Amino acid sequence: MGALQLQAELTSVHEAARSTFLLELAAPRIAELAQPGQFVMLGPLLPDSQDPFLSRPFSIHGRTRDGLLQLLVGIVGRGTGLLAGMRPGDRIHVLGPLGNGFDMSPGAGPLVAVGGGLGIAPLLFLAKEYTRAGGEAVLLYGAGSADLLVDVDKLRSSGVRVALATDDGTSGRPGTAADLLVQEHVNEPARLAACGPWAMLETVADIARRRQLDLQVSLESHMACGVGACLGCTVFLDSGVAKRVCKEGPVFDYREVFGR
Amino acid sequence: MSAADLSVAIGRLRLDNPVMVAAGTFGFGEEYAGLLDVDALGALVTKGISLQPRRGNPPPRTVETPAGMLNSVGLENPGLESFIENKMPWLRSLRTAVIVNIFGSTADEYAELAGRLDAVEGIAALEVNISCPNVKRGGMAFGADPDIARQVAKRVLDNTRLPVLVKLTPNVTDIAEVAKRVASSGVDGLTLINTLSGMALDYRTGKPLLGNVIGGLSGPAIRPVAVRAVYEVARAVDIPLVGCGGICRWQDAVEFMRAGATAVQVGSATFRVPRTALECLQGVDKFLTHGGYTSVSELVGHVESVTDKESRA
Repeated sequence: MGALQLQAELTSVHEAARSTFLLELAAPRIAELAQPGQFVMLGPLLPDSQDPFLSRPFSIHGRTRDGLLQLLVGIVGRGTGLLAGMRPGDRIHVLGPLGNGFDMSPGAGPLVAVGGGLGIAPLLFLAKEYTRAGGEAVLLYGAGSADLLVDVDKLRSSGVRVALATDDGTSGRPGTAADLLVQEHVNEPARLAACGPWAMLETVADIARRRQLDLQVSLESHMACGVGACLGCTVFLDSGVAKRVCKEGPVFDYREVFGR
Repeated sequence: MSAADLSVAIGRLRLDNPVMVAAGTFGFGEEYAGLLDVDALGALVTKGISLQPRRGNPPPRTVETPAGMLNSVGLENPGLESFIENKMPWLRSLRTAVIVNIFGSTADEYAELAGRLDAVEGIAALEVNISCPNVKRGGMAFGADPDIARQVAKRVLDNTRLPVLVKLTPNVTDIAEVAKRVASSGVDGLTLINTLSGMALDYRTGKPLLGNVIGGLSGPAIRPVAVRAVYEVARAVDIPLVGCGGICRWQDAVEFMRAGATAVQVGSATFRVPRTALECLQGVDKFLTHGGYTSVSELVGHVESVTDKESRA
């Protein structure tokens, strides 16, 4: 499936959690093509300036009924700060959808999506689409603290079963999203999908290995081009084989990443 | 107003137009095929190829810096055989000129690469990389020594009938000196510049931002260095130059031509806007036509002297 490059109008910017913004873009053709787990590159962020130089990758967080593309932007530096400071009506360069996306084929049990921090971005889209296709999805979502949890009310009204955790216990169970996988009752055989901090992915991988469950992990990497040309985002899998996160990923079978 | 003739000659290499995409920034072309008309490029320079497959450097391999980026990819590539078998069939189907960038860790390896690619159909020229800052052996170490640089160029020329470009590193005291020595080998042209050696640290932790610690700086941040290099080398050698370094807009391409470049390569700017090279080509075309130029060569090396009056002001 070919990626599109276009300029899209920003229709809304909403602070979804502390230092985290939900951007909605009028990019109906990209929204229509998008599969959960895919991403877009945004940039140049200041079209008349050569600084910041590179575009930025963002997981697709969702699409609305009227064709808006939803992205979750956590402010981590200058580029994301510029994006969060944009106003409705501003235009943004978008390239996408890019990457492979999650395998959505129906399985015997529920799909359990385990998201930590901004790792929620692709997983809510996944859980919603999976539910829409007639499957059962559970979203286990953890963040540092209650004010970092993104749009909890909206999550609950999405038709997806949601369980929450925070590191400091200010909302949901104390602990991480991976802890929820142990604590929450999940019907097995479940299929797992995870996105978040490396330590959380490792924990989820351990659980998957012990319980012999399928697990797809979505990886994050620095990247310059997003289309497989620069080899900047390469990760070395457990076997030593090099894979481009932007092209062969960002979604991988956990055994490829963490070994059997 | 008649249209300008955009074709250029770089020694024996003839191109329909002077705008190429630089090695390492365009993969093997297929990655960008859906995003721009690859055949409209003056030439496509492939990712650097070595005899054996190379794994490249550990991640992270890229980091953004002011008006540019550092990379330490380390010439990851599938190796010569896999390149010929898996990448050349698609490249051969292109109408645009395909220039294969080659890299070795010994002069013999360069010679062997040249010899084996000589027999491969569909290649317009070779570009010899003696300037990569991201590898321990060969690379920049060859390009920084004028005599070794010349020797490598000579070995490549002796083993192929293809036109040969040599890509120079700016990480030297006197790039014109290296250029003169390499030019004396009889190569068709010189590409300049490769990336500048650089690094970046996380100031809080002291941790290098690249897995390889040191990498190559590219992007508009290095453009003035590249323009100066082209200007100096143009005054030192008689062979055509290909300018490269931070070209983002057609105005930048024209600037390089004025400094002395017969053709240009768009590099990391493709990462941010895939169509950059073609936008540059359109702009150069318009500039030449509106300016009454009939060919690219009329612009090449056209630097006005700074008058006494201006320099006093």
